[in-house]
Amino acid sequence: MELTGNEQRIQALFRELKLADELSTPGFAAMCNPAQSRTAKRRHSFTFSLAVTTAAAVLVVAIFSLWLWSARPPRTPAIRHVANAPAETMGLPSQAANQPQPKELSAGQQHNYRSARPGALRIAARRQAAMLAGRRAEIRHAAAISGWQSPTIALLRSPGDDVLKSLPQLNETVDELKSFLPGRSN
Amino acid sequence: MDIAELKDELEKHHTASFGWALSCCRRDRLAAEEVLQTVYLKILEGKARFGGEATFRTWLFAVIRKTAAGEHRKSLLRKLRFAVSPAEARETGSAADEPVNALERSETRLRFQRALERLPGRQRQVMHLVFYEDLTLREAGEVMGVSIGSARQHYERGKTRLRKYLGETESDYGVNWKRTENPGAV
Repeated sequence: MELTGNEQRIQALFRELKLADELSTPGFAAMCNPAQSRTAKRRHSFTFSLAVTTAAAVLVVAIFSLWLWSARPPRTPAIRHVANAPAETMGLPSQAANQPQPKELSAGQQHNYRSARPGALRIAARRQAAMLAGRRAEIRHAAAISGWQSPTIALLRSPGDDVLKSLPQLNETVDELKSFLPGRSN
Repeated sequence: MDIAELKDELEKHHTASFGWALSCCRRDRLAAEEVLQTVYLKILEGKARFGGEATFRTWLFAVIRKTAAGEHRKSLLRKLRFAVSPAEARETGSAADEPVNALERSETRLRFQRALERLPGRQRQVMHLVFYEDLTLREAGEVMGVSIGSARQHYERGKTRLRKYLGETESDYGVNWKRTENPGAV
């Protein structure tokens, strides 16, 4: 490109500017190394933040699952013992007798029972009480039905009830048996 | 191109790159350094890849221009979000205008810089690429992402404006000089 007078003047000014810039240009290493270290730092900080985030997430999940586990109605032997004891005392049919007898609580189990949350225990106890009340009502109804008698039962009774209700004795002699036959006078 | 080759190429064009970054950042040294570091980082990390469609220098300058534009946008957003305190603004201004050497303080160069700053961005860039970096108009167009016709138009307009601004500053300088030397004459 051919430069005219004005262009040559502009170019001279740009040259002067370029010269000044070249004198004050920071070294390549000074520019490149911080850039690379910045990358490394960024990578390091990313790894660190990823690790922290993962740890925090694991912790949160662990705490949440622990909370869920502790909030569940406790199915501890102690509660089972509470549930079974009144049923036996009420004289339930042989089921109760067939069930294995609750064992005495070990020290660890007692500790578990004590350490279970009081709120959860209260809920479980309330449920057991409701269940027991239901069972008691059922037993009461069953006893009432089995012992029921009709008020007109006396009208159904007759003098021949004993004969009708008893069976003939098969070992008796033929003559004795004939005596029962109708239309024969002895 | 592997990392070592890339580093060699970057080092070869480092001075020119810094000059171009300065031009893209309106002669703000700190911003230019930041932009150039970001560009090196992009290239070395492989975020910006040289495809071989243009010369390495043209491609590198295009990356610098785009990065500077992005950084400028970010800084504008930052300014919008957080109002810059007067103390901060003073600090930034003083750092950017800090004279580095005697040449920096030369009156001709300062006037030229002021005239350049008054030019619209595209015109300033094409003038810089042609006169400072000795690129052809086609290459300048490639760097700026415009056609050669558009680059030529920016070049012609920029040249005319620069001539005008330089004339204005020279006459201003004359008046100022007269005022200082002989206040009664004006």
